[in-house]
Amino acid sequence: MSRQVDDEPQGRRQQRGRARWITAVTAVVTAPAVMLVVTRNTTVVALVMVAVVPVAVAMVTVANRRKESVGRESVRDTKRMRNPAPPLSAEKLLLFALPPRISDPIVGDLTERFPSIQKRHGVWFARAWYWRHAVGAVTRFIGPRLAGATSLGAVVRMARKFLPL
Amino acid sequence: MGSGTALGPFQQQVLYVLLHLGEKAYGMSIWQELEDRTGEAKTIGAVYSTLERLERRGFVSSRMGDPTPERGGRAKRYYSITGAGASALQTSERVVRNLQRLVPRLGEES
Repeated sequence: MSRQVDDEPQGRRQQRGRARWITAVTAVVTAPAVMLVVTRNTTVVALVMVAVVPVAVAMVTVANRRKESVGRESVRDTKRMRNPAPPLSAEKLLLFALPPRISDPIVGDLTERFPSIQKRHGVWFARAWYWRHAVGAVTRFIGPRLAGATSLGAVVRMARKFLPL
Repeated sequence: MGSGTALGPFQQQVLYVLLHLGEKAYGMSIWQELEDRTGEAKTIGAVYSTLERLERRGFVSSRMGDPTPERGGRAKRYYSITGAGASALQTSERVVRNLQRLVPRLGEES
């Protein structure tokens, strides 16, 4: 099995990676639309989105990395242990979801503290610590705005006018 | 005291830490100090959202530092308390003291 994946051409592997991203984005866009139709509650949909998007991003990233690393785990893991970096997906989430005025200092702060946390508690604890702060920051800044849902609410109201929902 | 100067408990804690740290107060140092002194595990987002709110109210001002390699080339945002912030803190201290006078000290009631 690992031999097959290892022999897979680079272009094919990238294509599969892209397909995974497309599937995830489609799911993340379709699911809230369906939920809106069913629940008609923008706050619930917004809160679910805040929880689901980072999970989807993390799942696809992990799946893509796992496929890339089949047959080379030991080398990659040794490298990672020697030079651990903060989780890229969490960093991207912060940079994407927060305004640059806030996201840059937050990412810098977490990146600065990450090595000392990793040294004291290990790589996985440090990664979990980073994710906890990233998700906490996103929910702090985005949650209240989405819960207010003024623009989202307006879009839904307009959609209800024109669509037989 | 008008609601314009009213401070929440966490806002007060953040302002005290800003006074204590002085010029070297930035997100992570404020977070660390709060965790050490209060023992509560807040996220860095809670600290930044409070600082943003205080800045909007004019109680805190901020400036960007220089980017450093250990921060992945990202700059620190340094925060400091303004005159309005200091007087809001004094006002809320005074309010708490006035309220404390209404009741006997905790643990001294017979």
